[in-house]
Amino acid sequence: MTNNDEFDQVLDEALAEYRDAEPLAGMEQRVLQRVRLHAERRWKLWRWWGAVAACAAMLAVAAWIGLHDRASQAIIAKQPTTTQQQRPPVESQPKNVNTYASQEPAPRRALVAKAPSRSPNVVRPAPSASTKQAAIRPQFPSPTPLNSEERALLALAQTHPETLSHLQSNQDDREIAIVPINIQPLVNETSRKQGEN
Amino acid sequence: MLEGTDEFATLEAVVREHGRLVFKVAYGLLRNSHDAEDVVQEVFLRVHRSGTKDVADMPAWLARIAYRLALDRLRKPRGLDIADIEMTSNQPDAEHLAMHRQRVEQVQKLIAALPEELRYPLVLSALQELNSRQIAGVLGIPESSVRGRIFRARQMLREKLSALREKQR
Repeated sequence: MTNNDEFDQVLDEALAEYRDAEPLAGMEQRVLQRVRLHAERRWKLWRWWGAVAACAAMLAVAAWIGLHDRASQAIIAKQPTTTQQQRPPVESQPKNVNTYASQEPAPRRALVAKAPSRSPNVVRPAPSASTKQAAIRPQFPSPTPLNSEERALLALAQTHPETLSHLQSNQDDREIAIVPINIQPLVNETSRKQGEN
Repeated sequence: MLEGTDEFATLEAVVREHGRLVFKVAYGLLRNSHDAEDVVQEVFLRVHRSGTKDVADMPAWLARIAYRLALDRLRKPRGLDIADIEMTSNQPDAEHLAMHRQRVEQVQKLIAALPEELRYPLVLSALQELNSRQIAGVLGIPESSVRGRIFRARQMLREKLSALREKQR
């Protein structure tokens, strides 16, 4: 290198490699094409994620409804006990032991079926399909808590077992006394007078 | 994010106007056309995502993105052994033109062997699209430092080239 001018010239030519670097033909088109593809891919990805989110939301709603139904079934199962607790105590109702004895013991299912009508304060949800399905239980007869009458009978059996055994022994051969009904004919005052005359 | 036809037309205009500058910046660091074009595509994908509304100095902004992406692509700086540069030292000086061409190639290799903090300002200064202020913005250093580093790079190249010539004699 003899002088600065020659060095500058050589350096300038060496730097021309960077200055005059040219991309391959059609670089702009390739860049724009890639950007378009990328944007489309992103849009598709967003739509796919949107669909996934919608499905997840639907599943969550379905799961919530299922849980809600299960909870309402649990409430229905607990309701007979609740209604019995709201009722007045058994001792306050004057009942005759003979009345129990004279009546045919009602089947347990019938008692359960009548339970809702006895407690008007209790609001029950409308029986849905799932509720009906839940009513069909694997154990038959379905275990239900005792109602007040049954508990009173149980208490009586525990306190006076001899009464129950006596009732049970006399129940089949007991005669039913039917008192004849005498109905007096209706007589007006005018017809009585006419009859007197 | 740029969306719709208007925004895409804007992006297209930016690509057509500044694509070559971005390519040159990337090429200045990578010295490979294919790698540089990959960087260009990456730059404009980022532009597409972020938009160009708040950009004051578009060339400097694009050059800065290209510079950083090219730096990321460079896994490690490529060192250069001085023995590689001396491969033409035993050749006879048959023609002046061939001699000149050899010197240019030597300088190119010496430039590639410069430390990064000197090489990048020198290479970017070769691009006519960027002034020293914009180069300072790209590199993230003061403008005075850019001038100082360019001066030091030239001085180092001059010394190394003189040393090479002394060896050849």
